[in-house]
Amino acid sequence: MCANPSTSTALPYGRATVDPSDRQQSYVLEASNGSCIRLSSTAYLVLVGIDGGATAEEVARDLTRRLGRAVTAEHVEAAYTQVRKQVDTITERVRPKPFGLWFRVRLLPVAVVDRVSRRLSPLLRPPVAVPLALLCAVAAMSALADTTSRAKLVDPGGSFLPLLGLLIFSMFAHELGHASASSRYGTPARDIGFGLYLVYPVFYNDVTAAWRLTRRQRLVIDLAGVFFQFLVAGSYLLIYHLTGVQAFYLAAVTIFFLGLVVLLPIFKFDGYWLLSDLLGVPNLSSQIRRVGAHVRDRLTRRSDARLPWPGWVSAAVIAYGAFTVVFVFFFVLRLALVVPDLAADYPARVSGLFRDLALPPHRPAAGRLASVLGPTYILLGVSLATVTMVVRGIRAMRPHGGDDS
Amino acid sequence: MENTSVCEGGSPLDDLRVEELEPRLEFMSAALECGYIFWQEGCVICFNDSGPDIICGSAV
Repeated sequence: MCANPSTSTALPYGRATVDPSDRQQSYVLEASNGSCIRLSSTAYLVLVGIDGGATAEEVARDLTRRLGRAVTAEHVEAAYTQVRKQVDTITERVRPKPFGLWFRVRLLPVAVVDRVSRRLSPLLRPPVAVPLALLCAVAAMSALADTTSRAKLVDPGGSFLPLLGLLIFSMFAHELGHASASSRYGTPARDIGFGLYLVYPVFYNDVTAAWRLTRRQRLVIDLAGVFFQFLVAGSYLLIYHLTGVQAFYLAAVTIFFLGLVVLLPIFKFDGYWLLSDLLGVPNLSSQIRRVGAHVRDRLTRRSDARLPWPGWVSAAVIAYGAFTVVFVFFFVLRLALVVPDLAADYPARVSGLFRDLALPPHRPAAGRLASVLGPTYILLGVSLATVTMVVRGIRAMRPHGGDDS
Repeated sequence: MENTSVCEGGSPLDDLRVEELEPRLEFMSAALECGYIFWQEGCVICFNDSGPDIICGSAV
């Protein structure tokens, strides 16, 4: 899914293509199990050479010419063994699931996503997208700054289900935005689905294929979700002004607000991928440990090795690492404080819902659904997270364990 | 996951990086941070300064 068929090289376990986004020349290999692997130029040449049927001597001569230093057949054989072993380890196991996505279910099949996203992708052409984005920005700022209109909105308990419907539609639009941008750059569409990510009920779209695009193209994909969502919010705002139906105004304000929140680089929402692509640092979350080890080594003077990025990128990754550690600490602390109360109140909330349904008029009281649905997701998320962590811990302690995919 | 190794014996093939790229799933939720309060308290959003209680539900 991450290799460009027009420029790719077939290997026994996938296809490899030039990575246009890395600062140094490198290659992206799409493995047959769906994983994407980045190979340095040397690793790629060794792998393609030997797997393509060349002898170690031939590859050594080629590398000697390219690198400008003497490479022997023994060097090539040792390098091939090392690289092939690493590639095999990745390609022979089940493709890892994104961390924290406890379960997921497909909502829109690939064929539908592909058809719809191809039709919507012209919205991302700069002459169309730039004016629309400016309009959305003005609408968002005016809606978020308009405290007078919001102050008139009291107790929309009865608006909960319509509001939820409008928000769900906007989230679909968000995912279609990612899919449309992906389609615009010729990467294959993937399904859109629903799942539980950490404690958040989420919609998702798999854009793993974007790894083979340039960083600029990936940035468009990262931003396209919020762009499409803001287009929907702008439409809601227009409908509100035309009809006066408050649910549209509530939905628009909520969408504008969530659109900004989702751009924070927390967990793996859009802001995470945006920052990763802006910095040109893939696997950003796993770099935190690397940065931590680096800072420790520098402070203890164990090593003065530099991080493999330009100075400003290293500084940004360090700042991101510090921000994430603080954020996750407070996130977990907050959950730890809230979850016991939620768990204690939960039976009463559920029985309240059943009581509403059992007694006339046999429908939930205002706000009742919200008071049950939210805690349900949170308790479900925390339970699944706890079970997953325990299972992974047990696996990691077993001999030959540790495959936490 | 990144594996960067240098061949033993000072091999000239000193850059043999093999790095698995993480799956890119773009998520969107209606229940981020303030949305979390929305769910918990039956409120829609939580603009603290401009009034977190302006659009709350009633039955909790």
